[in-house]
Amino acid sequence: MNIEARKKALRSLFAPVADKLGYKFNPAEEDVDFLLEQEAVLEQETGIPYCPCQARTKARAENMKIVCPCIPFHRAHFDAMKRCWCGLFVHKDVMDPSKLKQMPPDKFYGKNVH
Amino acid sequence: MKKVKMYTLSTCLWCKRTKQFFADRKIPFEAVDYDKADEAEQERIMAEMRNNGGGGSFPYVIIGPDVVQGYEPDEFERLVGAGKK
Repeated sequence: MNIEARKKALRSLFAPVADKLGYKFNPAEEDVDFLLEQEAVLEQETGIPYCPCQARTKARAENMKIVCPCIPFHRAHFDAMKRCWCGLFVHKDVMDPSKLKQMPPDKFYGKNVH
Repeated sequence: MKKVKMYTLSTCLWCKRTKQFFADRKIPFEAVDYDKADEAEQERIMAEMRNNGGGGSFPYVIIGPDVVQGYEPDEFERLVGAGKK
């Protein structure tokens, strides 16, 4: 499957999952397009659509926590930001995503939680 | 001027915006793409990030003695500004 077709497929796959979690795609369509493209490429390379803004390591169990949509694994943190880390999804009530900031994990959870 | 170094991912939107922030202001910086680095370098970067309390979320920006994890233009501005003169 080519990248454009896979982006479309990922969008269809993710939308109902995000909806059940109280999130929606970021209204910033250009950002969504870029992020989905990165995920489609990562999936092509690894078989899994990982978050494009979080690192994979040798620890498979940890890597599973950054498979998109990774909201359930970081729920409290993302709820506090009203967005996921990469910004592909925002809370359903967010109308202006430009006001949302990334909050470093250690500032939310405290030091050395990883 | 403070030294600026950052760890980034080539796939990360906010890493691109972080690089653009410093490039637009003509502030020199060193950037290392974690996902393009070899295994030993990746382990070193991850150890450094974890030692400073951070996890594997990018961008990770070191400005002088300070660290900013995430795209925080106001904080970049403040920390870079504090290093001038």
